[in-house]
Amino acid sequence: MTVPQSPDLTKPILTERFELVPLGRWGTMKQEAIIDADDELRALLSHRRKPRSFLKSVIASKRKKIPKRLNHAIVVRESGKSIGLHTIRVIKHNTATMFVAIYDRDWWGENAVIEVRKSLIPLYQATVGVTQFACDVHSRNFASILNYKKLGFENVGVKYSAAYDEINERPADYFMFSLRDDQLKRKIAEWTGDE
Amino acid sequence: MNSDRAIALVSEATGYSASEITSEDDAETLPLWDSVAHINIVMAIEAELGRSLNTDEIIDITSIAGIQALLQKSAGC
Repeated sequence: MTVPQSPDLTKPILTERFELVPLGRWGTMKQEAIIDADDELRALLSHRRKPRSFLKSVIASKRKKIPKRLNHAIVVRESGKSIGLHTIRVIKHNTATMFVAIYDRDWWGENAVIEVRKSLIPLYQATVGVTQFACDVHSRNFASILNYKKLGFENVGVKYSAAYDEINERPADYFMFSLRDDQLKRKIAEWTGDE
Repeated sequence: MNSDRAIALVSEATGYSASEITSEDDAETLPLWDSVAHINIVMAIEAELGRSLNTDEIIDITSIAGIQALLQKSAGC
């Protein structure tokens, strides 16, 4: 499934505190490099000891076809400062998955992810026709687990030993979260005030 | 007793006073139960139990009742 080039998805999106600025391949790579260079975030999100080399980053970026994924820099409206990266990728059967990293620690615990997703999920549902958001989360990514629950996602299972954690030298489990159909519509109505 | 302990753990991590939290509360009803507070809650539970939580335990501790059930189960082990 290819994401239609809707003007709504290619122009900046404003939330209460943030401007979500669409990124191209290089812009996304720059953001990913910031995240990958952060030991704590890299450990939590990709479980690798060392950052990727530039060459591997370019190869990985080419594999991720831009029409199928939409990346936004999360920029603070007040200061113009970029604090993180949000990605939505349409997988198949009207299902999308999401990734987010807030690398500016001043914004941890400030509900930034929830605010961003309350804006992006309705937009994606309306313009692309996504009927399910399905996301996997490392079982010790406590902040992310809480955010999915607060957004109304349901835990639909566990992928045991789904990846290898190089830092702790053991397999890593992942929770599967889903927001779909009626529950998705209910939450969107709640967030957009269309109840 | 475990309910009191669960409330105390959440109170400490979120900044609510214990009297403001009831055993029916969860991360939805307590706005200050944010992602950083949640990390602190999990760490406090692990310190209290003296072990890391396993995957099946982690998912249900976003409510006072869930934390209470976990503490109860661990006390019974």
